[in-house]
Amino acid sequence: MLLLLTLLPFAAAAVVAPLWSRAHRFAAGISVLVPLGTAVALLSLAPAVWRGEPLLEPHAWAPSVGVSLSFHLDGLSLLFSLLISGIGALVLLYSQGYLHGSPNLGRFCATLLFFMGSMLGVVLANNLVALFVFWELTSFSSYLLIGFESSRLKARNAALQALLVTGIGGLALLAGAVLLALAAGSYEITEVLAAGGLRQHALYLPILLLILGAAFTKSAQFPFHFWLPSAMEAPAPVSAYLHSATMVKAGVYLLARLNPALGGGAEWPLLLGLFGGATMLIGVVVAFFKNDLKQILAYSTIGVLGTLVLMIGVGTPDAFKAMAAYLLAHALYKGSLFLMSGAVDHETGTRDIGELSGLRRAMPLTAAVALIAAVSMAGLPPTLGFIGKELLYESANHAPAYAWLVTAALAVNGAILFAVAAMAGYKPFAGPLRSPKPPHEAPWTLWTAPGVAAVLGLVLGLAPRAAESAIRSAASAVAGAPVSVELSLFHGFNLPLLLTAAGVIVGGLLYIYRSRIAGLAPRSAPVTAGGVYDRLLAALVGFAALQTRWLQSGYLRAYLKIIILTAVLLGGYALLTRNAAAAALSVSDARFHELIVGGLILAGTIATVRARSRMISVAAVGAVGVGVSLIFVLFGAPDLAMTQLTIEALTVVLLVFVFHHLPDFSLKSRRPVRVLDVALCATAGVFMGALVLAAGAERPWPSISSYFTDNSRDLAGGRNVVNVILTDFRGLDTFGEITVLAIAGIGVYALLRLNMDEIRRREGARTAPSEAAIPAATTAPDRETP
Amino acid sequence: MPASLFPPYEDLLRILPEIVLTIAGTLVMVLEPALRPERKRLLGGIAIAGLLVALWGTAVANLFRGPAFHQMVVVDGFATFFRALVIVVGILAVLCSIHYLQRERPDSGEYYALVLFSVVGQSVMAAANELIMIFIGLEISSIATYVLAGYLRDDRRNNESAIKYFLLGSFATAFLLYGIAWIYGAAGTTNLVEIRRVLSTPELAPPRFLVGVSAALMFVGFAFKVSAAPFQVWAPDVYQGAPAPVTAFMSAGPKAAAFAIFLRVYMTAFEPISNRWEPVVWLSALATMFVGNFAALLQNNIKRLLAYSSIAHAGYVMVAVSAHSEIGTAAAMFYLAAYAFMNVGAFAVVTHFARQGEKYVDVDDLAGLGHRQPVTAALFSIFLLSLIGIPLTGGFFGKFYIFKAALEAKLYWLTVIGLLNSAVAAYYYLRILVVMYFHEPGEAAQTVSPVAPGVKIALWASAAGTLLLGIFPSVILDFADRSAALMK
Amino acid sequence: MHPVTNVHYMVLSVALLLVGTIGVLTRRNIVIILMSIELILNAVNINLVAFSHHFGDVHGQVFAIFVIAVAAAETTVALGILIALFRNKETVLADEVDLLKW
Repeated sequence: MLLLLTLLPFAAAAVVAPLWSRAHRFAAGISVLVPLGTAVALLSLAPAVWRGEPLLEPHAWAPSVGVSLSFHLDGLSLLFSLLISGIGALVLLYSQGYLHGSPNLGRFCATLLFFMGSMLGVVLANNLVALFVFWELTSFSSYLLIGFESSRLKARNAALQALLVTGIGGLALLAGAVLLALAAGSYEITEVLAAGGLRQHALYLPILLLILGAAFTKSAQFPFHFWLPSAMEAPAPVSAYLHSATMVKAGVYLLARLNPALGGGAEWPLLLGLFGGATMLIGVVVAFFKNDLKQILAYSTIGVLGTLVLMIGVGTPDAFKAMAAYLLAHALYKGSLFLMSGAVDHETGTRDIGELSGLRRAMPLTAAVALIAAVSMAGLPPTLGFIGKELLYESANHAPAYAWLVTAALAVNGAILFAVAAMAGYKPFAGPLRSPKPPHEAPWTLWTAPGVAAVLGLVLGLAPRAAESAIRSAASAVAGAPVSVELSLFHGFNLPLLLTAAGVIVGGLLYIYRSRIAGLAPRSAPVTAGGVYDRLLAALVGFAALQTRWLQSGYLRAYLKIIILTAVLLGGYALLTRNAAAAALSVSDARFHELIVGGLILAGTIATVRARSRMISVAAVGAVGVGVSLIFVLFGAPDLAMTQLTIEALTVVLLVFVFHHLPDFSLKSRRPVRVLDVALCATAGVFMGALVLAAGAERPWPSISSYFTDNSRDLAGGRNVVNVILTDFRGLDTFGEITVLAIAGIGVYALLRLNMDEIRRREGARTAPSEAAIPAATTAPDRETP
Repeated sequence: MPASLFPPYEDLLRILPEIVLTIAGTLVMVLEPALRPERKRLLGGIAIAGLLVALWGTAVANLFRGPAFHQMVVVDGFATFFRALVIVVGILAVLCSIHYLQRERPDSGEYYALVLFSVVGQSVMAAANELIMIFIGLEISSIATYVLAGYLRDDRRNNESAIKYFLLGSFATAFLLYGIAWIYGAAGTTNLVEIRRVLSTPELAPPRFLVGVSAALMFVGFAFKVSAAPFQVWAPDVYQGAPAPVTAFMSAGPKAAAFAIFLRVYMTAFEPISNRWEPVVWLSALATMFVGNFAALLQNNIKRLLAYSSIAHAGYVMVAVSAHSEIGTAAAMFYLAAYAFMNVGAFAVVTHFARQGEKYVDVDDLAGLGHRQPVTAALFSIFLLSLIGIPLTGGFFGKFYIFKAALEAKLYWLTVIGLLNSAVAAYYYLRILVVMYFHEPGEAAQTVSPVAPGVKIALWASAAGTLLLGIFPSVILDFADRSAALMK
Repeated sequence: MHPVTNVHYMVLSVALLLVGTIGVLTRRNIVIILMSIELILNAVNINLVAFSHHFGDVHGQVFAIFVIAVAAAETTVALGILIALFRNKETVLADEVDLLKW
């Protein structure tokens, strides 16, 4: 059932996009009815959950790595999923009017449905990895939706910024999830929550920091908040749905969900309180100084997200209750305000509150909706916003630590928020009519959707009992233990009511003197998180450029140097295990002819690399080969010596052929470079020398087997041991060897294939004979090996 | 010991894929001169048929698990996995090549033989259990690939790619060989299982530092072949210069096979000295991820960008190697499979889009492809999203599995850095997506021709593989899990 | 006991390896770099045969044969590539092959 509910929006998304051009109305119907149906289905499951019987639904996915597609519906996920599907239905309805006639509406609705499925997945998943999977999918669909008006560069950059910030957070979540599973012994969230003792685990702090990193980036907490205002480049329905009502609350959800396992202790309340509180105040203060309707709403959303995080940090049952109530209230009023701002923008062509007033005359319905939502936002009775805010004050007042500080911060927030609510929901509609273009009442799709949300906020304020069970079971899930909740509009004359009254007075004054106060504010902050992000990005790119130029110079010999240097370093590292080795090496007892052979090889080697004439070089290589084959003879390996000699002769012949084509040597590299090279070579030499000395100092190490020599005669019936091994014991190797040679032949054939016409045309007859010779010559080794 | 030295019939079945491929390769060479240029594509068909039969042969060989030919090769799950992987890569590469060859060099068919022989080499590497066998497999694969990289002999980029690949490659192989010579000197055997036995038996154990030096020198060779830092230097130049289908091939097949021998050698023979090589692999993994991802940030040539990205992905696999556990091995296997699909798929798109003479290989050339050829663009998006590691693609489960293995091995820092790196990587992959969908169609996209049938099959197959591994990972994951225990 | 020990051959092999490395590093001509790599392979062979002799185990010799043959195959292919390069670019200097970079 839950799997079906999660996958249904994905399926709908896949159907809607291609169907749009053919059956527009049908597709539009699907895209509104699917979220609506989901909401109804969830409501039908609600009573059982509220009675305290959560739904658990496991499905196997990749059992070998502990990943399953299991779902879990308890109070917390029910509250979230109801919001997701309910507001989803409203937003999709609204989109039909907002983007009416746009050729991309189909794609837009499909992406919204895709997002809805992902978001449902986040809150319903009972497996940490599945949670992460859906989490990333929400980031990705948010990217697509922010960049929806892709022709604008700002929209594209904002989309990328949001994705990078939330994407990095998502990766932190993955790491945190794996560590959490390591610590708790399971990837199933229900089992993690039941595990207990996680706070004492050695990995607790890393887990905590990673999870907080994920939650803070997603929920736009300071200092990661900057992506959210930029994300306002998205169309209004997206801002309402993703960036205020649902997606940005995924971080809050994560913290609330894991609170029973990770909460408590010293770090959790401290970090959550600190960052949540800071975010709350920064958000609401910045919102106060903004003029763009959407920016005002965006920053106030940041402030509210901070408040919610702060409440989870406070960590009392009262605080969880307040959090759940305020979350619901905020989703309703903020969603409707965002949609309303879209309607205003749609009709007037601007979102600057300085240019707007008196819109109530032209758009009375929109104005009414905005006012109801703003009253809830300001925290005035008789709305759900008021109840939520009272609960906030109440729980802050009874906070286990720093109660006065939390209460004061919340009171300041409340006062400013009152002013901000007035700016957003009152200012554009009051006074004489002023607008860049003459406004009309928005079409019904544009005001019904925000209207339903706003009115719901009002109704729940008037009849709070209706929301009681939802909030109670959500708060209980966060607390990990039953919490009793009784909601009422009036709690008597107490501190919260006093604070509300004070807030109204201070907030009213702030609103009235806003233009004067705004003049005092600095034009722009010297250091902004967004600026830091930009500079970080620039530094990253600069570093990347430098590194690539230096490492990937394109010069063959630079690459060779890197290989040699690393090889020497690695070898040196390996040698370090040994103490200084005393050499047991003495040349004096070598036999005369052995010295001669060794000298011959060395002389040839040196001549090869030093020679100024290429023929001398070739001759020297030949000499080395002959020397090596003499050594083989000394070791009693005549067949090897024969092979070596033949191949050596062949190589020399080949080289001579090739030299026929090539120009004379131009010699070595420039001198300063050479000094470096020689230094590198010397290092290599020291390493090699040390290796041999160390090897020599060891006593002869034990020999392993002489199985082949013992058996070759009896088993394979041969006298020449090497031949026997080649043909019998190592038949497979030899087979491979022949393949190597065959490939060499084919390769040269492919590269130099005779194409007489082409060659005559391109280079004249001079090159033809030698090219013919090379493929012919390569076939020789084939016959050589056996 | 067997009474007769004639290889038992099971032994022959155990190398059935190699036998089939060699026959197919020879057949291609024999038929090549007899065919008129316009019929040469028939050879591509033979190659694909041969590869498909070899895939069947792999399955047959898998029924006869165990060592063969005096322990030189061993057929186990690990070998079967990599054999199947390199053969599939071979099939995809040939599919991409048929049209490409007709376009660029219609008179040649030995290309297919080289691909087939290269796959033979990789298949030998997958099953090799002995250093000589490893060396020979490596050489068979490498020599064929050197030639393939320079296959369009009249193209300067091809020439340069081949010469760089060859010189650096043979130099690195020389180090590998020197390392093999020393370990032979130290342990007296080249058989991996024997080496392990010698190293872990105190009375037989050779001097530690000698083993260490051999392991270090062999690391140079292996790290080069998998393009791990600091031996990654060749990869961008070679990948950029080689023909696009060849790049697709060599960035997936030989790399997977090289990782196979890397894993086998270090997880069996050198396991007794694992505390010595773990830090080296750790450092290399770190550097590889950094170098690859950061260099890719600024790339505008899409082949070069994918080359850097392939370095970065080698870095992730190195993370799995440094975890040094069975789950790490399984993670590396799964990742290489996912990587093969997504990377070959991405290069298949490049093959298709580049046109005659590989004219359009800049990221900006892709502008507006999303409007011109929505299906191609959608498939390309799947590959790019998988390379980023977005869920529901193979790339995601690959990364997840690797980082899980790393965390279980307590490689916390490496994991964190790896995760940060994948965030950096998202930036450059997304740039391609943005250009493709959000920019106005440019000249290149306006003139794009329909996708050739071979490339189309390769694209769809790669996309199917990528999604299969992302949605139903258990199919491969369980097999990798069961095969990760190597013969010791 | 044999008057020339294994160690002497190791020294010889290391000397070859070193000279080969120097050649690879300091010479600009690709052909010489190629020949230097050949020297390194010879160094490997000396080691292999020396060890083989020491153990009385012919495996090393067999391996050496493989190395010799592979070296020959490599040289052939390298020269093929080189000639293709030279036809298009008229150079065999390593430093002038720099079309592909960054």
